Amino acid sequence: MPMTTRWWLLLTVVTTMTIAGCGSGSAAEGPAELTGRTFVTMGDKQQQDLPLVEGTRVRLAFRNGEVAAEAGCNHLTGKLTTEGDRLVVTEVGGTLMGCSPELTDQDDRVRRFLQDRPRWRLDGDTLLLSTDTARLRLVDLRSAEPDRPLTGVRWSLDTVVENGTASSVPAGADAYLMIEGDRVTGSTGCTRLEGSASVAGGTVSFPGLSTRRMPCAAQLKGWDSGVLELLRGPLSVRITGNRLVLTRGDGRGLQFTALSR
Amino acid sequence: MRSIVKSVAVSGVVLFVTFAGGTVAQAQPSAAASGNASTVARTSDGRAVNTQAAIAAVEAYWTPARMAAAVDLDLKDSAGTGSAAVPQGKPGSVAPALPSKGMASLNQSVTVGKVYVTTPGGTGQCSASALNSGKRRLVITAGHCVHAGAGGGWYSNFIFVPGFRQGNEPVGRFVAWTLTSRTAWINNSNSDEDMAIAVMNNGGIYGAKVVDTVGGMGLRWNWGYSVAVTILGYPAAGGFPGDVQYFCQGTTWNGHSQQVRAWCNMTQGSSGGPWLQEYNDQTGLGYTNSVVSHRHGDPAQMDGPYFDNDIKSLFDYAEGLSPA
Repeated sequence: MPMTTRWWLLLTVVTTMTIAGCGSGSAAEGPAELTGRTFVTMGDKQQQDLPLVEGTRVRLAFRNGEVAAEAGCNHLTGKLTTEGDRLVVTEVGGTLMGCSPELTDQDDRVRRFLQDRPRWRLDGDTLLLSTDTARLRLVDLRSAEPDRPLTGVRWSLDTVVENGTASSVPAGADAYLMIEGDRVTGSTGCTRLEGSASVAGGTVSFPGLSTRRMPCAAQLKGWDSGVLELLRGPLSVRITGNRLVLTRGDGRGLQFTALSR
Repeated sequence: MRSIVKSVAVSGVVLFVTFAGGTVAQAQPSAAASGNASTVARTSDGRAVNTQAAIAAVEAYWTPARMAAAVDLDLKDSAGTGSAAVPQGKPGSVAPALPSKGMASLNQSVTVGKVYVTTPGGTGQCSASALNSGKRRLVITAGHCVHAGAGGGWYSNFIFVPGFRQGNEPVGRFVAWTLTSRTAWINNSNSDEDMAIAVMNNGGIYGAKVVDTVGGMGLRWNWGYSVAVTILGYPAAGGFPGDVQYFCQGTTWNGHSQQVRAWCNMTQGSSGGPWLQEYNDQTGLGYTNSVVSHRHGDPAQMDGPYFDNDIKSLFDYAEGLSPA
């Protein structure tokens, strides 16, 4: 009798491990077609679509076994698996910022929608999620926001990066760069810039940059010199949608957003 | 809390009592059978001091001449015919006790406050605390209270209102000069590094630095995942009012990846609130060891980024950017 019990126990343990192994190997990671992709809703609202507050959109990012959602307020996340043609999202939580009642309700609406085991269908770049009562039509971020060209765009500086840390451009500094042909113009808020721009092989450099001081707030002056220093030497160029990242060899860099013209 | 006003019968003396706070009930006369008595303050002609006009009358009554001629109550009492100062017996006492179920309330900390930011969707509300440093301008909060994370930008109009309570700003407000966070948050929304430090302009009622005005929390990093903390914040949803500080106390553990987890049911609005080691309820100060970030399925738990070298790096960076 004791021997039998032990064999059953062993068999149970082995079976459990096998099932768990299967789960984490396939379904537990969510659909492979979605993994690593980000989708956003577009403004073209139709009647059966999940209602959204004017001017907001839903952003869904699929990672390994996890989905992250944003709808204008908090960052929601949940565990993701699939069951047939349905997404199964569990343990949904989120960041804890307070927002207007409309946006807080919208977070709840999106949370409930995801927990409602929506059916999913991917048609090219369009992802359709539908429950019995509502649906979300989303487009791959890469199609929704195509990469902007480096030249001919006014790039507004918003972030300075250094050693894993980042800071915002202080209020009042209207800092930007604009490259047209082989010329660059720009400003740090305290200094006007002008010179030549050399773009080649994913890097840009600004040799012979001439600078001219302009009146600015005292507190911006120290900050300004750090930015000017970063513009010397070659910088690698990475553009994602409307964002431009210029990075120096030592990891320090500048981040910009394209201003719509 | 009721103010107890002892009845003093001295001819020609008028009592004017200022009640502390806004919710104190008017004290009522009561029987003196127990040896305790209270009464409403009255003017010298016997009218109750319970209207603005009566208060003004009392204030007007005290001319400099009257104040100079005021009777010295202590002298009169001790020199009078009262009973001699003889002890009634041996000194006695009853010891105070902490509640056996844990502290039900704490004093609010003026070093902790509410944050308002402008987000693309409207106004965001978070919590934060002033953080001590050499230049005394730092405020620590969550990364998602200053930046939208992957694909997004910095929020604008960041203000910190220390000690905010029910619409009151006891020491005024401070406006951020620049905001800092980890690149792992701003580029990848990585909640392991959902932390931010704002560098503040002079502000508040003194037009001074924030730490000079309300003090600053200490900072601890690399202290392990299991520490005792007091979490303070302004939860604003699910029945919490959003204009009063709440707290949770307990011991943290490793929730997932590089995060600490605690039992705490504070809701939206508490983001950025400090997780404090060795919190001192008298001074309202402690050592910041995490900030409120997010929760998963269980509404009774929350997670914060584990403070390791990343927070020290951010602290040094923000302090380096700070104006003197």
